Amino acid sequence: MFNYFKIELKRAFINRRMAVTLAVGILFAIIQVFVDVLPMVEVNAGNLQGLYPHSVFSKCMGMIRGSVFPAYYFMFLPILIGIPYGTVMSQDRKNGYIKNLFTRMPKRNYYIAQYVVAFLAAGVVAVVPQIINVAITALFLPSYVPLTGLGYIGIFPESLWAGIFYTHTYLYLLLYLLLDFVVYGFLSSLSLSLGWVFKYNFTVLMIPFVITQCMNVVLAFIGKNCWTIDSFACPSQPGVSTDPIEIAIVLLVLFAGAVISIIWGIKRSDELE
Amino acid sequence: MKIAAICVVVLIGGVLYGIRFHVVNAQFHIEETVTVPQGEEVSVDGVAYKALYGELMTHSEYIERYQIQEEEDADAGIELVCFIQVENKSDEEKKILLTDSTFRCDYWANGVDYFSLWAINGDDFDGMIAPGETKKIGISTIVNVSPEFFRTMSDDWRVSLVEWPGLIEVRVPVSGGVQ
Repeated sequence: MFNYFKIELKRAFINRRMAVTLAVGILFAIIQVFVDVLPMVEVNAGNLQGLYPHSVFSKCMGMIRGSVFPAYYFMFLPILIGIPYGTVMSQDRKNGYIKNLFTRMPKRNYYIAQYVVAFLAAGVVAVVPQIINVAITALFLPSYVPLTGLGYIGIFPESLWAGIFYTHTYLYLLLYLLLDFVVYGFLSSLSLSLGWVFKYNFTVLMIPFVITQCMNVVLAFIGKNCWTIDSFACPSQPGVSTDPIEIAIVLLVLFAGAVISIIWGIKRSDELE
Repeated sequence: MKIAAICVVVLIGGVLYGIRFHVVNAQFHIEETVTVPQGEEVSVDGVAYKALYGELMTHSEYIERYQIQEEEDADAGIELVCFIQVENKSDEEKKILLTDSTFRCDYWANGVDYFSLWAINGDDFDGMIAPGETKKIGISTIVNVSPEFFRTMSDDWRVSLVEWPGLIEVRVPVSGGVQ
């Protein structure tokens, strides 16, 4: 089992698709530094006239307000997470590779490895560009702990982990990276399972994006914008009053969806094989 | 050999990153916050600050008491009005930068209601304090949180006079029957 898991890990992480996907995410993160961060270095170097300098926590991609970069990054992230590994199981079934495998190992091992690796690959794609963006931003802007009420920095008191943000801001960003890792990991698991339903790889690839967009429409309709993944996965919390219980509910629904789709997908697959 | 070379490159990169990180943060070092505890007087740059009292009130009460020229808005939230005493102990005239100051409580913050400075302190208010002069200054803000969240807030009300790299926090005893 472990040996096969290692093979699948290599298949997910050491391939051109993963490299290209990460490169796209990192390029996006670096362009954000050029557009939003570097101009602030000059502002900080000038006469601040008693105003606080711009910091990492006001200008990094996850925290900046009024920039198109976080909006587009979190909008297209559901597509990116599926590129390295989201369509692998669907392809395995189409090209018959899955039948060869099942003659040599239990089906259970294959499925467990597939879902765990898809979860990990999606998580890595979601967080690595954000980590690199913060690391580069910290080379140009100071990292002082934000003060409430500065206007251009921070989150609202009702926001999730506000206490951590205003005392240990890097820990807050780390927690958000973990949250993003889990959220996008679950989304990728959903796409893996629904791969059995759709014929074309492109459709399978677009499943997480379609799920998030559907969630956006439905939740906006019922007035719960803060429940959308685009909103609560972004560290600046554009949904304002993000409630930890509400996030837990959304995560639970995603988790339940992933588990049900895994069981359903495997049963359906077994019928087809 | 290859692994050793990678380790050396990573180590050098880490050290250079650490140096650059330290330089950037040393360049924008923030001074320690000066706190003015309730009932005490603390001098900063020749000016002594002392918290007097604060009061929470409804928006309609606030409009009525200070004759604010605006329409009553029942949903405008809770108003907080605080009074601090400022004494200029230096030999030169000082300006108190109240227009950039902020009210805080826990992780909530809101800026001073700029226009109310004149409504509360009179039309001739300019924030200037003559040498040896003592002034009682009133400042206000809207506590812009939901009633549910307001009930979770502590009584750690502060008025922050922010001017980077310094920060003066005046802790104000606040009363009021709007909770």
